[in-house]
Amino acid sequence: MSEQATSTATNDVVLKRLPGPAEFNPKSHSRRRRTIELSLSIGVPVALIILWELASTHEWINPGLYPSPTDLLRRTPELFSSNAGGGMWGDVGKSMYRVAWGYFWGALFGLVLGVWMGMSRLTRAALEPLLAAMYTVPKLALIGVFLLILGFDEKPVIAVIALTVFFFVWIQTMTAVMSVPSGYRDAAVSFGATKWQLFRQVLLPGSLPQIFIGLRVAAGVTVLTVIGVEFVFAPGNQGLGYRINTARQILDPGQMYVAIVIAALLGVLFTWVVRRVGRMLAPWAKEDEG
Amino acid sequence: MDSQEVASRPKISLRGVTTRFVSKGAVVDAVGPIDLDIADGEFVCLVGPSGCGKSTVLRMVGGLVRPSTGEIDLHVTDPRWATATVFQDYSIYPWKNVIENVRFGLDLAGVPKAEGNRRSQVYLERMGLGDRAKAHISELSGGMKQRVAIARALVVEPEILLMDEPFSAIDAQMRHVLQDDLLEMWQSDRRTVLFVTHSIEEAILLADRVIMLSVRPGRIVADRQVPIERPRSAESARNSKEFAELHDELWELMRREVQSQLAASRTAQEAS
Ligand SMILES: Nc1ncnc2c1ncn2[C@@H]1O[C@H](COP(=O)(O)OP(=O)(O)O)[C@@H](O)[C@H]1O
Ligand SMILES: [Mg+2]
Repeated sequence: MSEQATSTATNDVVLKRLPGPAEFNPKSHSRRRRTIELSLSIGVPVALIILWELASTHEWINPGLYPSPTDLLRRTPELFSSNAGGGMWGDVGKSMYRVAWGYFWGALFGLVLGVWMGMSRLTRAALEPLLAAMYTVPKLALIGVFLLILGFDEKPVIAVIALTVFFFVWIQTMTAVMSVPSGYRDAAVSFGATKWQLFRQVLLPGSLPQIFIGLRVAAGVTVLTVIGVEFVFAPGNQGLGYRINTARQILDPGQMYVAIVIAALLGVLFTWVVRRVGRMLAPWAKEDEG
Repeated sequence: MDSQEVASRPKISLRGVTTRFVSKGAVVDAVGPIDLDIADGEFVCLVGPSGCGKSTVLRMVGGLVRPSTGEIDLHVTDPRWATATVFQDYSIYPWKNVIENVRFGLDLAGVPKAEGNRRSQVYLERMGLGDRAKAHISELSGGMKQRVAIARALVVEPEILLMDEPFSAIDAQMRHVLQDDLLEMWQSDRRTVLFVTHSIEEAILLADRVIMLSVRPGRIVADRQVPIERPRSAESARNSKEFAELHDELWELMRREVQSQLAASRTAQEAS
């Protein structure tokens, strides 16, 4: 206890503020805390998986609907090696291809328009109401329209994904550029910065940490959207979303879970990569920002 | 124009300057009308109650805000580096290290990097930061950050140095040190300085001339030469009789200004 109340004879209360374990031995204390945090972040998922394993093998839950993790692991190589419909590799490859191109185009347009609108009031006045109205349209619902316009191949899929990514990146980038502290701008303007210098030297580095938050969120969303689109339309009948959907139709939950886990890993990996790039390009950002 | 005329020409002149801000329908008369001449090499402090338009005057001289009426003339030899400003909140960039921040104005003007570094290093030494050139901004204290900001303004050798409450966010001891540094530096190169502060004490310590503005819209209510000889140090100035007299006079004026404003807002409240 670091705080104690001692009642004395006169009924005065003495409130003590004393050093605790963290103050007596800061090094080992913080090491211990890190160890606990790390074991929790690994331990909890592992415990859940073990629980699932036990529940499934002891048939507390129906193993037909909830195959055990070891079962799933056993099936995975077979799913990857079998060549039926290109195998799992084909699905992973196709989904990654869609993630990459959809993210690329969406992020590109989002960044350009976001920076431009963040810097120019006129552009903002011209486009913001329009884009804000379109922001809430569920982009997945547009797949039908895109199919009609762009044809039945990869293009409409990439378009839906890019559009989804675009809105996340655009709004975060615009906000980030606009919220660069005015003191930073003033200093540059007072030293005679040109519009380009203001952008390159101040607005871009000043907003980069916030921009990368948008890019990171968009990275996760991209994987979600790809899976969703592939449920509805998967060119060449390939993609993790397509696999999940067909596995459901042929009542093969095992296959479904494997594909879901792979999709989740894909999302984690992609988000991690974007975060690393952000750390590299904006190392001055605070931990919680980049 | 003969040389006599050039010599007597003010460095900065404001003629009938007013500033009116219109934002979201509300109209704020911030400044004026003001007429003011500042001579070449003069150190002028602008004081006045908070919100009276001091920063706005400074920002107009620095070209960040335009006057609504009237005219401001700066008589300079090189318009590129006519003015440089030191802001209250430092406004130095966390994505640049110390020397990159100091070099900023030179970078914008296309001065080669090696040359920029050499010149920046000189001013870092003068500000006592010679060994921190490669340090990150996050490692610096508030006082050090403000030294970086001052070095950044001085390195372009502006003809007019503008300072907007540069020491108000700094603790008292560090403020005294920086005031002395500034005095020493100014006494060695006699640049024209326009320095905004809300502290009458600071104004008298530093300036040749103290100008007091009224409550908003700021007009000049007092324009006093500081009768303390140079070179001075903050220490010696603070203990002089002249300091005490001027300080009391300006304090009384400031008090009356603020009270008149309070009275006005009270009657306005009662009326509504
Ligand atoms: N960009 C602006 N838009 C609207 N009002 C402003 C703006 N800048 C300053 N003002 C107003 O003008 C007045 C004077 O401001 P300022 O010059 O910052 O005062 P001081 O520096 O003396 O405290 C204040 O009432 C302030 O709210
Ligand atoms: Mg101010």
